[in-house]
Parts: sequence; structure tokens; C-alpha cells
Amino acid sequence: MDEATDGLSAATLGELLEDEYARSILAETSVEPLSATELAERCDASSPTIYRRINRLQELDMLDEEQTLNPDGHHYRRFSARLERVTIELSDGGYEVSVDRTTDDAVDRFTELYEGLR
Amino acid sequence: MTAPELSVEGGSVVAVAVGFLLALGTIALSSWIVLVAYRGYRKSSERSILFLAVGIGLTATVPTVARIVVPTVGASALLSTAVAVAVQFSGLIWILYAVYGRPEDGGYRAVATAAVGSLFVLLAPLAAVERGIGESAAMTGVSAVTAVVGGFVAIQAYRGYRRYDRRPMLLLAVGVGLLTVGSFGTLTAVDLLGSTSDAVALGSVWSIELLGLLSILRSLTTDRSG
Repeated sequence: MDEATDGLSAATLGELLEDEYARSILAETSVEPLSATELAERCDASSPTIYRRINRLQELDMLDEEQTLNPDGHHYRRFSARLERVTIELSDGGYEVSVDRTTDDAVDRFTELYEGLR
Repeated sequence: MTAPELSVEGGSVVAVAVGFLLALGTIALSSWIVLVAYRGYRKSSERSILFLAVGIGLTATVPTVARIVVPTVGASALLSTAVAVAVQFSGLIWILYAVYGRPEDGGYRAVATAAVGSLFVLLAPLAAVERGIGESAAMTGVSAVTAVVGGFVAIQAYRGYRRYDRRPMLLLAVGVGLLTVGSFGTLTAVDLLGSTSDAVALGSVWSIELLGLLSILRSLTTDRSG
């Protein structure tokens, strides 16, 4: 009975945040956008571990991703945390989980797109 | 601005020369913008950026060139304005779709909306004139709608500038503002003043639009740190 308004259950959330790497990825990417390679360095984990956590976090819509162009012309992805606040409310015999995420509004998107065009 | 001289010299060699220079400048700047926008798209090859590039092309360059070329080939002023406004309207829809929609998932709906919208903007004044509504009133109506949409896009760009302190967004806002609200405002002002000649009206609109194009070109080419 812990089905959430957000589609996220208290169990899923607990499981996610219990994971040391998932927590570090969120913490690091809340400061600045980072690539998977940078994350592997900062979290002191292997690439596969980092990618697994990134996929999981993206499934739960906790990470944003942006394409960046290298000077050598290659694209690479950088991630930033969307998670801002989690509220777990116990009422009527059940848990209600709600997640506040950073909003990527039209102004952000417009600016980002225009930077991409220039 | 050259307007005062034009009103004195209306129809003279000076007016023709100024008009010719404005026209040349507009065509040159427009081609340049299209080139830079196309290169920008090629560099990223992202769908949303393609939509944005096409939108800027249709909003800025095509209408200004149309305003110059269509009357030259002998079409009526009503038709040339209608074409310019319709193309600009569809361009604004492309920009809005790039920002609000999800061009990654196709985007045929946006193309369809832009086509239907601009067809409406093109046909509405022609139909209104058929029904006996004054030509200028009909044109003012659709131009006003387009100016409102353009003003909205300009404001969003300006907010991007305020939030991220990106100068290019300021220049984009100024450019889009001049090309939509500015050119509409100028036309309306010239209309209200009444006594001025066609040469002055055209001259001032072309000048405003040239400034708008210049601003957009600057915003596309100014370096990243700017």
C-alpha cells in the first residue's frame, strides 16, 4: 500500500537512494552537468556501474541529459540532476511519495537550442 | 534614419538610391543569415535545431526579401504584404514548435499547423477584401496577430538573456522584435500619420527590418563568450 502519486513507491525510492553510487551521481550532477566518464572518476566506480545507475535514474526521471559537442567534433552526453526534493507522507495507512524536479521550461529550452544553432 | 530626406525628395534619385541600397542590404544580410543558420544546423544535426533554423529563416529573411521582390515583379501591395506576413507567421510557428513541441518525434504536425496557419493568414485578408472590408484594415488585422506571436517569441528570447546573461539571446530578441512588432508598429504609425508618401512608408519599414536582420545576424555570429 505505498503506491505513489508520482508513480514512484516508497520502496522504489528507498531502494534507489540506498545505492551509494546513485546518491553520488545525483549529488555530483546537482553541482554541474557531468559526462559518464567524469562521473566514473568522481564516484570512483567503473563505467558499467555508472551507466547502469544512470539508466536507472533516467527511468525514474531523476536525470536530465544534454548533448555536448567536443572540440574534436564528437558528441557526448552530460547529465544533470533533476531531483530537488522528495516528500514522503504517511496518511491513511499508506505512503505518498512526491518528487519535486527542476523544471526545464521554455526559456531554458529556447536558450539551449539557440546556443546549439550558433 | 533616412525617412526625413525621403519625404522631401520623394520619388527622386536619392530616394531610389536609398531604396536600392536598403534592398541590396536586406538581400545580402538575409542570405548570410540563412547560410549561418544552415551551417549551425549541419554542425549539430539535431531535429529541434533544424526547426529553429527554418523558423528563423522564415521569420526573418523570407518575408523581408518577399516585401522587396514581390512588388518588383508587379504584384499588388496587398499580395506582397499578405505573402510576407503569412511566411513570417509560419516561421514563428516553427520556432515555437522547436521550443515547446518535440520535433525529435517527427514534427509533421508542426509543419501541417504552420502550413494551415500561414494559408489562413494569407487568405484571410484577401477574402476580407473580397467581402468589401478595407484593404488596410484586413492587412492590419493579420499583421497584428503575427506581431503578437512575434512579440511573444521576442519576450521569451529576452527572458533567456536575463536568466543566462547570454548576449546573443538579447540580440535575437531585438531582431525578432524589430522584424515583427517593429515593422508592424512602423506600418501602423505611417498609416495613422496618413500624409506621408509610399516611399517614406517603404523606406522606414525596410530600414527597421534591415536593423532587425542585422541584429539577428550579430546574434548568430557573435562569439560564444559574448
